[in-house]
Amino acid sequence: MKRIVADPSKCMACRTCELACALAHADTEDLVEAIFEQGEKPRLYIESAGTLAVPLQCRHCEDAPCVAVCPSKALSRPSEAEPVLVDQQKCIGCAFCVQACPFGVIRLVPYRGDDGAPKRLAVIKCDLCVRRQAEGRQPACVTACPVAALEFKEVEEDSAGKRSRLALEIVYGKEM
Amino acid sequence: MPTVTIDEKPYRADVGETILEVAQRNGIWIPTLCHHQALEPYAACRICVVEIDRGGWWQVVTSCNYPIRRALTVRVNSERAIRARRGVMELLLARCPESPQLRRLANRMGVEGTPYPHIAAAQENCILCNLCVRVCSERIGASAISMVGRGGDRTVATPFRMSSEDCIGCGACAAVCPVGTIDLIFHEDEVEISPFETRVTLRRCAECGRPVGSELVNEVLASRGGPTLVEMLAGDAYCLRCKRKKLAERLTAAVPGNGSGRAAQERSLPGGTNVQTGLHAGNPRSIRVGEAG
Ligand code: SF4
Ligand code: FES
Repeated sequence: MKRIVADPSKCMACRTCELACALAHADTEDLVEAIFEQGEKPRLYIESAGTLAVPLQCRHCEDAPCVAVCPSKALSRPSEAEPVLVDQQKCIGCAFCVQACPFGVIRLVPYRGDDGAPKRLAVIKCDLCVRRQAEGRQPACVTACPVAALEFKEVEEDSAGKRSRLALEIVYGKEM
Repeated sequence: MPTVTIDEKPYRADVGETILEVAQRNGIWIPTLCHHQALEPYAACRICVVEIDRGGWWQVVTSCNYPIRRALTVRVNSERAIRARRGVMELLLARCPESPQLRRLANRMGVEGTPYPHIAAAQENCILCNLCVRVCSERIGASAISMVGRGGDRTVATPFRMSSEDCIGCGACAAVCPVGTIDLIFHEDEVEISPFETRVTLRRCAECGRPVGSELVNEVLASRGGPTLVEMLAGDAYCLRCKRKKLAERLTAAVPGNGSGRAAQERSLPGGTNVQTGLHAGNPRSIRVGEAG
């Protein structure tokens, strides 16, 4: 499947991708309205490491722990070749996934869906811009990056479980 | 496939769907409060009422639990339906006059205030929608809270109003409450679910000390996930920020001259693992983490 691939040696931490991400998930084309009025939040994060910065977002693990622990089927992965998606209307805000995600890229934010239900919180995560993809466009962060530090491309798949095994090593210092 | 006519426009519907589902799918807004897509319909708040044609007379029904059996004619934005919903909102506002969430919905419905006196203290700030109780039993399976008392004393509480033994401290009740009554309060090493006076053990980030989540949730997760997750959860807890930091350090480990990544660089990755970062072959600075092994 196609994934977002970041090159930290190019990223200059301008955070244009974060803005583009928030805007792409708002229901307006107006950046100011999206951020300040709708309170839309980005699904990707610029984290620093040493002298570099890296854009991070959901890794769309093959054996996604968030999907496994979700008690309301709000998180799902329709097929191997598709991203892990969240249905905010089904989200109950228990934050099981937030604790289970090894990479810290899913979080609870104020819910602002338009189904009339003023419930308070739901999770957001990278959806690889499925909406834009359906229109034949690239993910918003990839298009927005002024130095092309982000690419959307086909990458070789890992064998099942590699990505979350890897997480175990990265985050928890376990040797495989 | 029955046809549901809403405000004079025909829509296709499946037998068993509710009026609300058909309306939402077609972009027709009906306010809801006690409805949640992850839970069974309950029809407690009455804010979603609409009119349906009974052949000669129009009946006011709750759209969130009215199942479609055959062709049906519905009025969502008739004068009577709007008046009925506004009336319900005025009653609810008397219960939760301070809730910003409820006020926002009232605004959208064109309701400015309530002519009714404020409700007795026991029920203040609760519309008795039962969402918190239902999410706790239907989805979490803990059943830590329930409705107690009758009439003016009816309220949500833990058994005997004592710190619940069954609560896992996930906070779903707080997240779904449509009027913002329930809160999580983080103490030193406990998280309190207010106003239920329940306290559970809190896990804090091993790196920075920020609250991560309840200890009991961790146990529940371990029982739901695969072996990798179980192993991960058995270790230290990390907050979102620190998890991302670690990932960032790892992803930059192989970039020449990046100080902090060094330690991580020393450790080799499992063979053939692809971290998906900077894989263009032509770039001399591109990192090829994951091709170690
Ligand atoms: S506390 Fe909130 S969620 Fe629970 S019944 Fe009252 S209004 Fe509904
Ligand atoms: S949403 Fe239908 S009665 Fe509450």
